Amino acid sequence: MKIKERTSPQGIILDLEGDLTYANQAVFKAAVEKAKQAGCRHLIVNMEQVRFVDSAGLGLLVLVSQSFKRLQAQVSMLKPQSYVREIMSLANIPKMIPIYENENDALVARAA
Amino acid sequence: METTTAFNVSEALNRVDGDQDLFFTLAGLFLQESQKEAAANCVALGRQDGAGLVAAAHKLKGSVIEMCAPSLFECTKRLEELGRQGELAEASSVCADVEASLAEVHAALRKLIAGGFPS
Amino acid sequence: MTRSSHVRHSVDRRMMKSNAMQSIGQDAGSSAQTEPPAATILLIEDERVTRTSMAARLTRLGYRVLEAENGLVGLDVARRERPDLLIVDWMMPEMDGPTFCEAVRRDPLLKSSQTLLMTAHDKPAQIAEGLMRGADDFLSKSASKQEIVARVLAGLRTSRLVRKLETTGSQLESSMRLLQTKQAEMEADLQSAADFVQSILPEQGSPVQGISLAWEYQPALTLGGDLFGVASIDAEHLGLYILDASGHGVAAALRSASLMTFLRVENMLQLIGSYDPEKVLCEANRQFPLSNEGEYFTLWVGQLHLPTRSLSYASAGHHGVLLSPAEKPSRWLTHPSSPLGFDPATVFPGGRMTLQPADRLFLMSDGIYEASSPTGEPWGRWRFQQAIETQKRSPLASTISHCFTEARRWQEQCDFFDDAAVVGLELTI
Repeated sequence: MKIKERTSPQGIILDLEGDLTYANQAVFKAAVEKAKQAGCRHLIVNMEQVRFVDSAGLGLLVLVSQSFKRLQAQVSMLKPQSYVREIMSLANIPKMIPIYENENDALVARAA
Repeated sequence: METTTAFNVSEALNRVDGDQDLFFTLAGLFLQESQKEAAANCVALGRQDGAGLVAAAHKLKGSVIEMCAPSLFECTKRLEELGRQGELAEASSVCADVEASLAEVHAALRKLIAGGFPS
Repeated sequence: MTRSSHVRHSVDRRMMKSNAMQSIGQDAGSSAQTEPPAATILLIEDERVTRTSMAARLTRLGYRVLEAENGLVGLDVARRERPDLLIVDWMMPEMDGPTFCEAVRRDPLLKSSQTLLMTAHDKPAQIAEGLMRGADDFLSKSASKQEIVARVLAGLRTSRLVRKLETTGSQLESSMRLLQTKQAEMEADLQSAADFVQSILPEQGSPVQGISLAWEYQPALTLGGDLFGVASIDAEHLGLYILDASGHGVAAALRSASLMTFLRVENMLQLIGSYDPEKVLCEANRQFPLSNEGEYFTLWVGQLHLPTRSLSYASAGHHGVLLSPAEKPSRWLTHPSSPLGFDPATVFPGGRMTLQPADRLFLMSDGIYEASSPTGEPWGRWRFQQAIETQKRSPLASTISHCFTEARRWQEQCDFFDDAAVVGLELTI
């Protein structure tokens, strides 16, 4: 999985490309840790290029959300593909990690 | 260094890196063994045993190399070849050449052993 | 050795100084040297003058030299001493050079030895014969000191490399054998653990009067993270659950075993006083938070009141539950819910329904319906549902077996990527 980081005044966006799975957890964890170290208050995970999330990937997302919450920070998700969206929905993820359809909405929501 | 017609003294000494003691030891061995080896040639010929002649002549040839005796080497080599080719009639006369040449080498060696290397 | 009367210089003195004049098959000795030479060379030559000369030259070069008068003796010495290099004459009685080389190549102890064949032969046919019969290189009897040094050094270099390879190869083989033993032990342990897990799964048949139970379980690896239970809570109630630990293998299996222990009827009655599914999930959610590595469980719990056939249930992220009524189409008992540990404050809403005789309830892990075809398409819940529907009139066990057959046919292989379990309950009265 490839991860690109983009910084904006309202938060850090991680553009993921590939599968969010057990095999790729180290890459994702490293990117999140880097954002944390940079004092990120709002982490936006762009899922537009993510084809598949396994149980480990799901657990990771929730773990990241919980750790950001402890720091009074927030995690949001951007444009998940339909299969991924269904998995998230069945596991009630949107209640913990809000889902947005465009970047602006995500950035503005936190700022508000 | 003196060079006899029978063997090349300087070459033979050079072969043992100038070790005179070693040379004399080899010479002593040669005097013993070459006689036996030459006798074996005759025995094989007498039996018309081509293979036996090849083996005996080859063995003698090997020790002759150590003594750097070109003439003896050549006729021993010829004897071996004739044995290999089965030309035992011709081998007979070559065998006589070998004995004669060997006698010369023996004489030269004994002289050197008795007189030592020139200082 | 007899002394010639014509030899002026003492042979004895020469023997004391030289390493080369020893009797056949014995060490030429190193009395003249303060340290033993680094490498050992075995010289096999029947002609005494040649042998003595060559041995002396090699000793002078710093090698430890062993001698033999023919190939047979040479083999004995080689086996005993394992020299670094063999120099052997071509023509010898008893066993000639090429025959000696062949014998060396056949001998398991000696076969990788480096062999120089001493010969006056320089004809291509003879060289080819020598090489084919096992020689590694040639040395001429009239070779210069430089040539002898060069060929001997080359032979010793190769000998060292070969010996290093042999040692490494032998160490590798030994490590491999150890690994294989360890692996076999581990697999036996894993199988033993898997057998134990199978032994604590509910017994198929009739757990209580009026209920028929069948199941099939295929872990992805020897041990799996899926577990299920069916047990009497009391005279009127039957408790059932299916759990799935994220991941698979030994780690997931261990975690599952701990949740299974927690879900035991005795434990629940002690902790919360009942097997009410919503309360069970609430307590489980409290006691099994998300791990530091993001590991969690999905869990579905049901309680069947036997006299009224009333089923109450609740789910923590587990969506593999299908109700197959006898006279109606089947439907999934699925609604969004968080797995255990995602949200400590979450409430798990329950469901309730009344079952009819001959109704079937299937609990399954996602491994069965997420089985993918070679092109990556999941078998899917819809196809699973169809498989159940077509087997409505078949015995419960056959229906479940049919699902597995269809899933395997879909993915075109027998083994499942994820743990696959299907538990079926049927109300027989």
